[in-house]
Amino acid sequence: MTSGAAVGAPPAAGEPRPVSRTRLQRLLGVRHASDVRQVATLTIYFALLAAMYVVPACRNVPVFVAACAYSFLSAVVGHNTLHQSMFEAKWRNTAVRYLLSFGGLFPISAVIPAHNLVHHHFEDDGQPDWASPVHVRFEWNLLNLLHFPNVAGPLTFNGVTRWAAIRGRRGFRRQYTRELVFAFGLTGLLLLHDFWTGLFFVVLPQLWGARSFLRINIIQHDGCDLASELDHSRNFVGKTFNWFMLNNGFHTVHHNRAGMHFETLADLHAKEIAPRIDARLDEPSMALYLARTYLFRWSRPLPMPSSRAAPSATLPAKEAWTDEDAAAAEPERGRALGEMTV
Amino acid sequence: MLSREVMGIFALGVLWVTALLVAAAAWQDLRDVRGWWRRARRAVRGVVVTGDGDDQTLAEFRVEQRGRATDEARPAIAFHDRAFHSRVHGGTVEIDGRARRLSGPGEVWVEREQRGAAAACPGEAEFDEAYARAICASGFQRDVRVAVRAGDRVVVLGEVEGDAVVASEGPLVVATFDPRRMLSRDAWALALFIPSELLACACVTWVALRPPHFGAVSVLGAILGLAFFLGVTPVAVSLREHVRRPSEAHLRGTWARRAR
Repeated sequence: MTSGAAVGAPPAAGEPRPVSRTRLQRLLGVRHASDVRQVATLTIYFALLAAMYVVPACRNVPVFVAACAYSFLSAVVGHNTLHQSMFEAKWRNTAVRYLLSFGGLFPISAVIPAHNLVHHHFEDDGQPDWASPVHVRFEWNLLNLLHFPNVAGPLTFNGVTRWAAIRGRRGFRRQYTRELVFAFGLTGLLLLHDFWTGLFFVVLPQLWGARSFLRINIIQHDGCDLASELDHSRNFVGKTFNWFMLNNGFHTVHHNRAGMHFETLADLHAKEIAPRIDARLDEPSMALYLARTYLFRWSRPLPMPSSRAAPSATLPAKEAWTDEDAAAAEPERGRALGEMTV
Repeated sequence: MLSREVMGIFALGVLWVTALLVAAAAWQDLRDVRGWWRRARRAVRGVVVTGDGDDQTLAEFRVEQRGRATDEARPAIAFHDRAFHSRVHGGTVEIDGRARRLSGPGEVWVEREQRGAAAACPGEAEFDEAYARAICASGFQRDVRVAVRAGDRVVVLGEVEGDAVVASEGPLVVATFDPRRMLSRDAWALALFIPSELLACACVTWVALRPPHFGAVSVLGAILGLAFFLGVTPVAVSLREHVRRPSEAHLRGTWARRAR
C-alpha cells in the first residue's frame, strides 16, 4: 500500500514536507502514505465488529477470529499513533483515540506512561517495568504466556494512576477520563441494546485485543538482555507478518528509535540492527517461536547473560501527551522530533 | 454459526482459565510465604551488643525515593520507591546469654510502622524545602533509613554455629520484629483468597447457567462474570504486593502540608 519513496518516506528533521501525496492519503488526511494501512486496519476491525453485531450470519468462527486478530492489530495502531500521530488534523487524531479506546476497552492514552515512558526504559524509575516478563514465574512456560496480562494489566493501570496524580498532568487525566467514559459508555450502550450479542461479539474481541497487546511484551522481551544496547528485544522479521503488524516485528529498532515512523523500521533493522544483534533474537516467524517456546517445551528458556551496559533507549525530548500539549507544540518541530501529537 | 450456547461455553472457559491461573499464582506466593514462616519458627532472638557500622550499626535498611508534587488542592508530595537496600554491616548479638558474631550479606526486615515513622515528614520547614524541589522535573530525592543499633532487639533468620550466627536454608535475615505473626497473617490471606476466588467464580457460573438459559438471571450472571473477570486480577495483584517481603515491600507514601 505504500507508494514511491518520495511519497512514503517521512520528512527528516528540518526538511520540507514532500509535495507529492497519494489521493487516498490526501483524502484521509494522514501524514504518511503508509498510514493508510493503519486506517484500513481500524476500518476492517470496526467493520467486523459491526457486521457481527448487526448481521447474525456474520457470527461465525472466521469472522470472530478475524475480529479478535484485528482487535490486537488495532491496539498496535494505537501504539503507533501514540508514538507518532497519524493524521494532520488534530480533531481526527482525537477522534481516532476515542475509537481506539473503544476498540480495546481501555483508555488508549494509558499507553503514553505505560509504554512510551516506562516500557521503553525497561524500568519505572528504578523499579521493574509494569509489563516486565519478571512479573510471572510459572515453571510451565505456557502458563506464563497465558497469565501475563492478568498481572501486567493491573500493574499498568495502578502505575498509570500514580503517574497521572503528579502535578501538571491534569490535561492527561481529563483525556484519560474522557476516553474511559467513551469506551465503557459505548460498550455499555451496545450491551443495553443487545446484551448477549454485545458480550460475545464486541466485548470478547475487545478484551482479546487488549490482553494480546499486553502479552506481546513477554513474547518480545522474555529472556532478552535488557541492559544491552541491542539484545534487549526479540524481532520477528517475516515480511507478511510485518505487513499486517505495521512493522512492529522490528522491535529492537523501535525501542532504540521510538520516534521513527513504522514504515522506516524494516530498512533500519536491516542496516543497523540485523548485522549486530544476537542472531537468536532475529526470529523468522512468531508462530514458530510461540510453538517452540510455549507449546513444545515445558520450562522457561534461560535468560541471556547480562551485558551490564546501559540501555540505549532514546525518547523524544518532549512529547505531546494531551490535546493541550499538542496545541501548544510547534507542528513542524514536532514532526522532526517524532512527537506523539495526539 | 456461533450460537449463544457455544459462545457462552467459550466465555465461561475463559473465565475459569483466568480464575485458575490467578489461584495458581497466589499458590506460588503462599508457598514462598510458608517457606519464610518455617524459617521464622526456627529464628533466634537476641539483643545487639556491637555493630561494625557507623554509630554501632549492626544493619541498615534503606529505601531510595523520589517525591513529586501532586495536583491536590493542598500542596502534597507523592513518593515513588526507586530501590530497596539491605545491608548487614556485622557485629555481635547476645543470644541465650552469649555474644555471637553475625556478619552479612543478608536482608534487613523492618516493621511497617517503623518504616512509616522513618518516612514521615519531620516538620513544615522540611516540607517546604522538599516541595520546592518536588515541583521540579527531577523531583525531590531522599533516602529513608532505618538502622539496627547496639541495644536493639533483633530476630535473626539463621542458625547458631558455635560463636556465630550464619545463614541457613536461605539468606540471613535480621528483623527488628518477630516476623511470624506477619508471615502467618500473609499466609492466611493468601490461603483464604484462593478458595474464595474460586468460589466466587463458581457462584458466577451457577447464576449464569440458571434456566431459562440467556434469560434475565443469566444476564445478571454474565454481568457478574464480566465484573469478576475485570476485578479479580487487580485484587490478586494488590494481595501479591501486600505480601512482599519487608525488604522489598513498597513504602511509597505522601507528605501533605498541614492546614494553616
